[in-house]
Amino acid sequence: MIDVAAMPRELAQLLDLVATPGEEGGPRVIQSLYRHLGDRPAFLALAVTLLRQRLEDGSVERAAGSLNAAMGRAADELARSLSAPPAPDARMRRVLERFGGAVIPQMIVVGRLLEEALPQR
Amino acid sequence: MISRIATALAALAFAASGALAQDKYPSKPVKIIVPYPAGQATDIAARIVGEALGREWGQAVVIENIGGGAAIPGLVTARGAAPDGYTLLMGTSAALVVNPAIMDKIPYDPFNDFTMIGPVFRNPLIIVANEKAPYRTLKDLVDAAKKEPGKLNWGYPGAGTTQHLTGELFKQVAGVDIQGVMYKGSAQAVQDLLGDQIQLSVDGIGRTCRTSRRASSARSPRPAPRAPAAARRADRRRAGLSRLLRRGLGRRRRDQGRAGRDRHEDLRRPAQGDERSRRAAEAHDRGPHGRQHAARRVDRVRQEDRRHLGRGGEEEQHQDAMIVARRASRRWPGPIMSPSRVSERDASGEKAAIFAEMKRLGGVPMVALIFRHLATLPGGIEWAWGVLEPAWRQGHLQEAAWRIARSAPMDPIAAIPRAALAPWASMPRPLPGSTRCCRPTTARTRRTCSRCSACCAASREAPRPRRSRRAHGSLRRLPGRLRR
Repeated sequence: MIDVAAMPRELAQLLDLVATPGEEGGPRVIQSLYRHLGDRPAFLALAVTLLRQRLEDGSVERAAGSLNAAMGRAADELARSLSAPPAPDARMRRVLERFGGAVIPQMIVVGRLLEEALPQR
Repeated sequence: MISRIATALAALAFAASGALAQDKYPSKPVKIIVPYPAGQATDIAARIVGEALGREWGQAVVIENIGGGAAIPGLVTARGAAPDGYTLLMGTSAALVVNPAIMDKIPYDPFNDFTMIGPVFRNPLIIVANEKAPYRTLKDLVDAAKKEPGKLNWGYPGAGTTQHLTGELFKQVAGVDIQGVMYKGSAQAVQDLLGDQIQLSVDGIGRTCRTSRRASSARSPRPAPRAPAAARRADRRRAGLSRLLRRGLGRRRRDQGRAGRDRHEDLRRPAQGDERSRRAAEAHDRGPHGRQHAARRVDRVRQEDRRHLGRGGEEEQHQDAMIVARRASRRWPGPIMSPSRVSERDASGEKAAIFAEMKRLGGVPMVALIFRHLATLPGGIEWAWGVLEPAWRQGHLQEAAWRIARSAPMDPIAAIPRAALAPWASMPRPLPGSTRCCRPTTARTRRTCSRCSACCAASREAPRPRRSRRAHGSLRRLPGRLRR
């Protein structure tokens, strides 16, 4: 997985097209999937090109939204059997909402899109 | 494989999030900004919905009217609010779609500044005439306007409003010349209509049906519940309104976060359960039968329109209103970077033990970024582990994650054709220093690849993590249908 600090400028510009916004004024999130693919910049460029249209027309976001709702339901069911003491830091909620609500569902959808487009082994 | 890893982590993240969600939204009063004066249809709908949401949430919902200026001051105020979900906005098609389309520069970006939460009401626009006017049908009106071009006049509330555009469109489609009179708001236009200062007006059905029984044309594929029967009959017979505007108004990007979707669900409940809401807002979810019925009616109307007006009329013209929340901007200035995180190598003591156990139970080679990010907060990873451990050990998390990922709806997305990714096999070597080789078979066998010695050398230094037998075991424990 490529290190963000050591990322070439061209790669950073490429990932800038698909990075997820973070907190206002805070760092943006480069999803791990893209960083995994970052050591194959040519493939990443091809994938980003193919994904961008789907990200921009909102279809990925809609699918991620449906997924998000399903995840919320499943989490509610699981949460019934879990005991949760108060979180030690108020910032945790923001972290969970940001990752769980936007980054992870989107990357599941993107991951499946790429997975289904790659040749079967 | 990658998506499988992400999937497992997603459910884990959400289990944590769900457990944390005991501090439920909203925990304080919510404000809804209405960018129009009190008494207009949008304001009435906001008050009905706000009342119902207040009951649902157990929190006060305050309506704040910031009218005038083509709704821009209201939207600018909402844009300046904190994006925490406690300041919502009644967005309308005029403010969110028409303004950006007809104004060179507006001080807000409807797509990036706001998150669309859910539709609230649809207000069919109708052409109304004074009770004493001689027109009984829209055909009478068109005939009269053609007979004396420029003599009739009609009122509309502000330049660029949907009422204005609808009226202009009607003039174009019907080929008539009717003089437009601009008012500050629809209330003044209706007053002058009742006082016979103007002959016609275009406005939403909610306001005009209270003041006039002479609604000439309500153009909707469904009968509007409050339109007079005569107007509904007239509606079926005449007028053509352009598909151009219909498309412009109809399209909107639904960009919803999780909280937004939850609020969308909250919006649906009052609309379904509250009789007043049901009457005020026509239901959007008509189901397949309703849609087919509407489509048949629309076809009939088009045929009749072609007969009367010589061109294809369109099915409806309306104002849309939806609840909108402030969203964080999509792009931030400054260098791209990843949030702070604890690397697995740097983790020690309890953190390292938790990371190792997470990898073992999840059957994944690395700890997800969300957990490494939580580990930067004091007590964060320990808390998350404490909450999740039982469900993780029993395999419930993995099972839920697997089920959810496989059920992800991929149909609405245009699939990437396999041929599009075919060139990847012949692509140049990876970046130097990478721990992965461009040729996986070479990396697996640890032999130097003739095409990329740099990465293969690196891969020898940093062996590829292997999935443990135990991890495989945890996957095998899943039911067969989920493993597929």
